Amino acid sequence: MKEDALKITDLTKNYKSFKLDNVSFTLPKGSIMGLIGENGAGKSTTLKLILNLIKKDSGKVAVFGLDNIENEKKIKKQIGVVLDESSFHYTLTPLQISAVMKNIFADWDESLYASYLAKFKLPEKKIIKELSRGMKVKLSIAVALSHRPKLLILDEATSGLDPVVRNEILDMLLEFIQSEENSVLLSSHITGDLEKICDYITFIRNGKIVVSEAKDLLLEQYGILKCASGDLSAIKPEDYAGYRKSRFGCEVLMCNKARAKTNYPDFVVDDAGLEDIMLFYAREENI
Amino acid sequence: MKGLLLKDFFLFIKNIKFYVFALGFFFVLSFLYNDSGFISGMVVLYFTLFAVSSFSYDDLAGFDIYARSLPVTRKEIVASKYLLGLILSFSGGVLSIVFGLIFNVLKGKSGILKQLLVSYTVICIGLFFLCLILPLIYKFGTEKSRYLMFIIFLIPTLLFVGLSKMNAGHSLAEILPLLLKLSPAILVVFLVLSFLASCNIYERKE
Repeated sequence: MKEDALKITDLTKNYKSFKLDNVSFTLPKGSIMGLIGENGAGKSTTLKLILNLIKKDSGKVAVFGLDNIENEKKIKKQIGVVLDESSFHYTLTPLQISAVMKNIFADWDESLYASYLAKFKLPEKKIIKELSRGMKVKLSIAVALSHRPKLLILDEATSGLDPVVRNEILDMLLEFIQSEENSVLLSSHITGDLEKICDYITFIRNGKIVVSEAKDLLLEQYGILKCASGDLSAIKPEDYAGYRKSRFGCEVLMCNKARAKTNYPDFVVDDAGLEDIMLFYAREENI
Repeated sequence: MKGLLLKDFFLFIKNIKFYVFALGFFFVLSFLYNDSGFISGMVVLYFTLFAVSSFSYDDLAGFDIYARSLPVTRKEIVASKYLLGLILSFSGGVLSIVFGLIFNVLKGKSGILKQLLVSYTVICIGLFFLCLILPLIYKFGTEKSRYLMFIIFLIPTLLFVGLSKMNAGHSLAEILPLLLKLSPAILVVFLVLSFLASCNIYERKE
């Protein structure tokens, strides 16, 4: 059995206007998990709780099988984090960042860092201010990887980047998990990126987990049924998760594609992408 | 923790041009007014206050939350700021003595003891101020603390003015030597209390 890189059980955090509600999911070693959801759904809150940046109200977070608070320092030595385009002041240079990080991570590998800088074409002595947004994100990833972490956590790292840079970053992540020991947890609302590289998808909405599943299973499970607006009543409400009406008819997100094909042979049932699943759920309250 | 300090020193060095310019100005001012107090005081104050500025730099980059994701404890993060303040304050103090002595040589004055006393007093004031402001920054954030900073400066100033008016400076002159003798102990107690308060606030911060 594969060991888990991350196991979250019933994680809860209360705010005045928002509650992260009994969130549970598991990220097996050697895989990439995408955390999807709208802005404010609870993705960042979840990531912050994993890193103990904010205090949980209840629940449990285990990283590499260890409690994330009891073994905080030990765990963090093996985690790489990308929170924003750059967490360093814009007057610092990549070379200075290396000097700083060398004194924070005992395992900091200067030559590995230099090789990332070379690979990403990041000039060592240029100040951060002069780098493009794409370069800043690449720098943050290079920094996060250079102490050879086993778990990489990225919060909306690919947002606002052009497709070429995004692809470069996604390739980088795929390369990172070539080692079976390494795992990635990334949050994003760019579902296309996640669909490309993730092994697991956790969909979070209004602080609750909608679904946490292997991506292939998820895509196999859900389907989109197309019918005329008037035919919607022919479909049992328990069979679908949401629908959207347009001038041309009605699209219905079916929870079980195979069953939908058998039960409703008169309609066309197509594959659903991650974006479809997210959008249909977002309209759920309209039902 | 060494890494966190190094980060702040890199940022400090970025400002060196400004410091050279400002201190050059105060040196000239000291010269014109024939009083080394300007340069001796300002060099310590500028240096010590950088510890406060470093919080603004961190805010701007979102470094604080990033630092908490690294394998350093919150206590170490707080300690790094106190250490930064202490190191800068003493470095400023050394420079203050050097500047004061250069000033004396140029002006043909003597009085190394007086210079040492002036520099020491400024260090004490700087550190005392730091002890007050750091817990406030942790509690209220950098922006609000800016306003509190004025109040902190104002209270002792008004107190001294009030005291000297009341007693024509007589009892004040009596207290000062005693205050000076006790100052190292007072300062240590203050530093410890302030550090513990900051840690306490920061541990609970989200």
